[in-house]
Amino acid sequence: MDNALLVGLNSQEMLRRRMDIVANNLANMSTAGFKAEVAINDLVIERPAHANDEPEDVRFTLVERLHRDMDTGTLRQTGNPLDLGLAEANAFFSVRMGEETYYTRDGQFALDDLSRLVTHEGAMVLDEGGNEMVFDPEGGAPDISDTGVIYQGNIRIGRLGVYGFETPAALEKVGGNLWSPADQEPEAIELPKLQQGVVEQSNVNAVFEITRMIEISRAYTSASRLVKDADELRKTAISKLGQTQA
Amino acid sequence: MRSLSTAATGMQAQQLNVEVISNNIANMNTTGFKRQRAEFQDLLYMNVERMGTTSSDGGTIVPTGVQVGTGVKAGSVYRITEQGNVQQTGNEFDLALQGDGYFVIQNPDGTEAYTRAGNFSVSPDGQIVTEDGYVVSPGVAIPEEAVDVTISAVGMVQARVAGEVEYQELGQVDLARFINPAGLDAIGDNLFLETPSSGPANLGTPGALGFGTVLQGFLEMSNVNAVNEISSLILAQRAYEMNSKVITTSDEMLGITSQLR
Repeated sequence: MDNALLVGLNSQEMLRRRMDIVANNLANMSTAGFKAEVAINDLVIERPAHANDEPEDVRFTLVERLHRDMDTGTLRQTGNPLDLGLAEANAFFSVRMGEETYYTRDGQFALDDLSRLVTHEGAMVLDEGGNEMVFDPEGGAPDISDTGVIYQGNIRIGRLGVYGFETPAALEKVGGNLWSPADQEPEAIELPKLQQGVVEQSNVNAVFEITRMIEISRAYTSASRLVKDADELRKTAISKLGQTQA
Repeated sequence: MRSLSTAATGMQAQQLNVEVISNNIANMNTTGFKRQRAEFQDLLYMNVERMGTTSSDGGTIVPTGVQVGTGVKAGSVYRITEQGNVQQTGNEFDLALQGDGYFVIQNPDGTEAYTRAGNFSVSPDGQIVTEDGYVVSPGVAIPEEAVDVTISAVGMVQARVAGEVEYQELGQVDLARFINPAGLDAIGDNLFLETPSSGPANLGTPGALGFGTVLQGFLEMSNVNAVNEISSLILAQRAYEMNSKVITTSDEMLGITSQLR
């Protein structure tokens, strides 16, 4: 009978975690290059340690994995020549923050006071060799090809380092729209289908998230009913058994 | 419940978004105004299950791990320095800039400010000044008897005095360029100040390499696109609403828990 209580509590715990993930998706509806996440539940089957006759399995459920939707978000026109979007889904710009190299799909770049290409947070955007990209301050508006080669007029400034990963969804998000490679090796992408003057919008689908939220809320209500009923049952049992004794 | 505070960060972000959009719409008719855009970033993630950890005694490996995000923060409000449309006014001291560069304005305190708004006029002592009476650098004096002032594409100011045929050269309007114009500090009245992130002002004449040209009798309109702003406003409002729904739902879930006893 305790099992019913535990299963109920366990499922509430799981639903709260799912709710946290939905909340994070909805909070990041306007975050450039954001990738939506869905919690995946796994069934955990536990066999009771001892039972009188046929033991019945107890089924718990846990959030054990995360599915990341790596689809490209809408590329929205902005009119800013240093806003870059990647139409290829498995492609990331490489940036250096301090000593670490991170990867990002947020291509909202600018030039700093030394004419280097940076993110709006000041992280250096790296070229294919892992070096900073320095623009010619007199060179005029840059022209960037779909392979990531930057020209100012007829002068080649360099080629952006754009990388893909074997399992891009398994990269580790570190906040600030940056991803850490974890254990994976970046591989240079030949054709990242780069577009100039666009920003990749978040790929959160509001309809899915709201539907998921309603589901979670209903499931939470029924899980709490389970806990309540199990509690009632125990109360009744205690009082009835108590009466017989008396 | 973490979802409560996560949704709160989402609402705050959308509020900033609406503020920026409303400022753009309010300045739709401001000369030389450059629209702004709020940019957002995800907050730190909590690693509930690390990638590559074993998930059971059987040695199964967690392939992607579980990272739970904690919401969103405002990254920056970025100014988009795209060229605005130019509109003919016929006023001889209205100057529009086509291309890169800013007019240099001398503040009364001796410092310099920069502007794209070229709606100038002549002060009582014959200087070309802004609407607020600040001198346009390096200072061009217009003689009182001048009847026809022309300002060329390269910023050369010439005037013809009544009764004469020849034009006199009066001076030159200078421009300033910045490596990162989006890093300038907006101080209101269409004026900007130099900052460490904009880089130092690089002075030059209009039409020189990298500099824009001057168009007399025109004004640069704001580069705000009303249709874009309204569609962004609708998106921001809906996103705000959905984040508030998350708060309501999280609250209901908490309520259910507290009713258990």
